[in-house]
Amino acid sequence: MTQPPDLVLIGCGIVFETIASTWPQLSQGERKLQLIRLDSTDDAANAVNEQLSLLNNTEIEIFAAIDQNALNFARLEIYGQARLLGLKSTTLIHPSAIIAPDSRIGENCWIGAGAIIASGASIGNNTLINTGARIDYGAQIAANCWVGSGASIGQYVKVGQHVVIGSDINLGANITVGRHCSIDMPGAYLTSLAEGTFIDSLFPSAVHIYTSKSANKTMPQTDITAKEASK
Amino acid sequence: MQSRMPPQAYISQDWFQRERELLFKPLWQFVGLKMMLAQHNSFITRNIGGIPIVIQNFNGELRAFENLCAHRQNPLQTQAHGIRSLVCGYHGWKYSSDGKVENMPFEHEVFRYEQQERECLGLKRFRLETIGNLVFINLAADSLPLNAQFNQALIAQLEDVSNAFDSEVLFTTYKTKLNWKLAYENLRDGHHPRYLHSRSLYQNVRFQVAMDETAIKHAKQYHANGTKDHQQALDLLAGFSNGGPDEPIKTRESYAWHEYVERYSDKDWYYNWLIFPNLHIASGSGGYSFIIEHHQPVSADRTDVMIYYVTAKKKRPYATSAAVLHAHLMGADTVLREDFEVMENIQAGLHSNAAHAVLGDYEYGISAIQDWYMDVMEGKVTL
Ligand code: FES
Ligand SMILES: [Fe+2]
Repeated sequence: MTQPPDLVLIGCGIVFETIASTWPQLSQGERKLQLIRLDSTDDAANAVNEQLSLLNNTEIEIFAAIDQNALNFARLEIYGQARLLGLKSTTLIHPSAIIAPDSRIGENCWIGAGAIIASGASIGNNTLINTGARIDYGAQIAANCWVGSGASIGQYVKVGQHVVIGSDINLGANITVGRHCSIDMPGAYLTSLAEGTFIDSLFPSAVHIYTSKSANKTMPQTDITAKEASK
Repeated sequence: MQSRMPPQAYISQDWFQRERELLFKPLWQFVGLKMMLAQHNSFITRNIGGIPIVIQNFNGELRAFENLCAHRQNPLQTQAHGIRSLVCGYHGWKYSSDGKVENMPFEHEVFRYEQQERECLGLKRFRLETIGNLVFINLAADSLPLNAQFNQALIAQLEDVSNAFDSEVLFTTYKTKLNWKLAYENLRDGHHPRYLHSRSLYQNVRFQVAMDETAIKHAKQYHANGTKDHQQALDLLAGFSNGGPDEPIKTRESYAWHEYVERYSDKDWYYNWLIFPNLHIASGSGGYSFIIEHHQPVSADRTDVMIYYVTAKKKRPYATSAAVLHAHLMGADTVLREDFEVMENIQAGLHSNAAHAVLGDYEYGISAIQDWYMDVMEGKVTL
């Protein structure tokens, strides 16, 4: 039997610490773990570039673990840099997660404890699904996303790239969430959200990014609050 | 120096209505950014002193109308921004760029207007002018020209800076419980950041109050004498809007995205433009990005603070641009909230017998505006 390659975990934050502390369970004692812990998420790729280039790409796999900072671009910086250097990245699944055999999960994904990925669901590369989240039948989550603890994504929901779905958020079935959205006010959301929509308890009315392109595709919705959306 | 502003100016609804007639109608009002109105049929809706407005792009030409259908006064556009032709959702009337009813479904079957009545049907139109990417409208038919409200040097600067704006815009509205004048007074108070923003903005920009002795002397004379005549009122008005480089930035952060945009200037300064009555444009990054802050008065004690963030024009699209705007919003939010909290506290404490403010010498700019404002409100001068 060949030894599985060692894992190099790079980053900081909740997912980083969770993986580091549950490693014995995750690896079942068979793989060694090497940590590259960052002080901050700023300029992450440059911070680790030298360390990454010293790694031997045949003997290790890497996992980029930075939380949802900068709409997941901070994590993408490391993941992307590792890919450019020819390093192989892996996906980690907590043993208590339930994964349908016909679901699809990309690389550099994390599926946290107790998460459920239903049949026909797909998760793009570099997307983190946190503790107890539920992804229903046929839901599609694109690359570079974050799904918070206890969030649920209804069946056939489509989530674009670089989306942050906070904890305890419920997306109703069949809706579409455009790319670059951040939903961080717990509650139920039953209508689609245009790209570049930010919903946060800090901002009483929804925040939108307008580009001449996006305005063409979807009509931006005004003033959606979680309260209204959950009616 | 005792301020002439009575508490009623901030809390009375009657006062607010008078303000609309005497001040907001004659003055040019900022309504939005041209970048958000770039395509045929793109529109924005706003509310100016209680009047609903729609700005709509008709094949590249911007027009401003009252946003109420000529039939039964149903609002034509119902969203803040979007792309949709100017059609009423109630009975389907469609309007053309001159505000006339271009198409009235079942006109001859069910409406059957007399010819004369039919010809008069149309939307109330307002004057619209742009300075670079800034769109202004005027509610009065015969008001002062835009270049009487702002001086030439400022117009040139605003044109320059707003033409540097990128077309990707982050937009949000804070619904605040304060009178709009508290906001412009606060923006002209260079002494508060040291205290109120000691842990945020002031860390990076050490705002100094400018003790301009000549201006202080003039403000005191003006306080004693009042406005001489119409011409002086206009000259003063033009002087209330100004700006440019304000203070050097202590340490300017650099970010990867800076390389992807055409920086507005090459100076590491905090840029600040105060545009009377209710617009503020600033750049805390030395011209890499901008905040546009518009205080839209809703009632005596309510102001919708509309905030736009843009970077300087992109040289080419880059993946993280949405995250960049999002980070600006999160970064500036602390400072905005520190200001809102103080202003809302002042507003909440005001009552009809409250004392007048007592202004220090450094507040000469606020004092001059207040004296001018009171002469307008008391009818001593008309605009
Ligand atoms: S109210 Fe607009 S068409 Fe009737
Ligand atoms: Fe302030």
